[in-house]
Amino acid sequence: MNSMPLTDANVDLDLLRRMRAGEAQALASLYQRHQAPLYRFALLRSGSPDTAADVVQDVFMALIEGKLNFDPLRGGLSSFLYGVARNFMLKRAEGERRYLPLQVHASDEDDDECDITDCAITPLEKILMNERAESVRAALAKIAPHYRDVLILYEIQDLSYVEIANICHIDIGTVRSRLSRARVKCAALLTLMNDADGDERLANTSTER
Amino acid sequence: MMMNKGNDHPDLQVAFQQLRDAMKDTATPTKVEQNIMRAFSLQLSMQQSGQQKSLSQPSKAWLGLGQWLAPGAAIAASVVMTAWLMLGGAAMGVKNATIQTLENVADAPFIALQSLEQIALEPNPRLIETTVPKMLFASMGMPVSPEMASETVRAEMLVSAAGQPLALRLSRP
Repeated sequence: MNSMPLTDANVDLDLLRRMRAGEAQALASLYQRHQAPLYRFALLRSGSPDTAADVVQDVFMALIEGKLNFDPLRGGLSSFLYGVARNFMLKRAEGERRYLPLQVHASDEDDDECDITDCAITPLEKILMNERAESVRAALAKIAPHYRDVLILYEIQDLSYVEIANICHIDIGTVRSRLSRARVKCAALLTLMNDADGDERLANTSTER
Repeated sequence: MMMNKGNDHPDLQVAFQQLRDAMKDTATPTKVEQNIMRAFSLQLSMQQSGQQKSLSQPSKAWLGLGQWLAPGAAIAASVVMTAWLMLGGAAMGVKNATIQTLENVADAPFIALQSLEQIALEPNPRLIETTVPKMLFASMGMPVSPEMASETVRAEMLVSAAGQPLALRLSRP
């Protein structure tokens, strides 16, 4: 008799069960399955490798301490962990915002301005050597977090609308609309940055002359 | 392989693909995994020690019970010993006492004359048969007719290796 292959969701559930029973290898497997996508999401969202590493650590610490209420009926573990990571980043951002009393808070859907704090984040030159990729990362960093979330999760992490809706606690229609607006913003920023680069190169050329 | 998720911004799709490619090998620093595994091991060992603690709690509870009973037993013992001395403990007739082993003791209840902990810790207790005045039991709350208070009754006494009375009970007739 052929044994039925385990789906990803079942593999995660089995690993979770074994981890809760005290099996360290199960935790190691869970970590290896989920750490990289979580880290990439946290890295692109926060723009900081240190913050991204802290977020991944916080997520797994919460998991082993039994602080998370994962319900497999509401979605896969992967989506759940993305949501937890996002919540941790929101809390961090909230904590940092307390020290910026003059920051202007725009409304959720009408925020066309770039996030000023994220514009100041150090670029990831060491990680993103490709110039074009660095431009996209820089553009992502300049758009508002609620647009950035859906754009990263859909375009980079390759999640579905339903998964993004669960992670961000919004409905699918909002996912679609945010994604559409986020693309427009990102494209506009990339064009702007390319033009600025062109102007800068032109200016440098003129100065050299 | 390039993903084609939307046709509205083809340049954007190319750019996203380049970002995906650039980040495909990006992973969490190894120290994070070490921290997590260490925390898991620590938590596991704490849980195991917690289970051992809970398993050992009945004996601790018993000791706690002994602590509660000890003062009462000590008071009873002092009352008994005082009465015993007042009424002439010599009536015990140790000269006539029959030394028995503890294994031969019947199931009749003993009255503790010392703390339960002290009795339990006694390494070599002995049971001796003796006679005590009925007044002694009256002082411990047992009903004794005043007319018969001066009479003696047979009793079994648990004593330490040094001869210190530990517990007492009436012998079977």
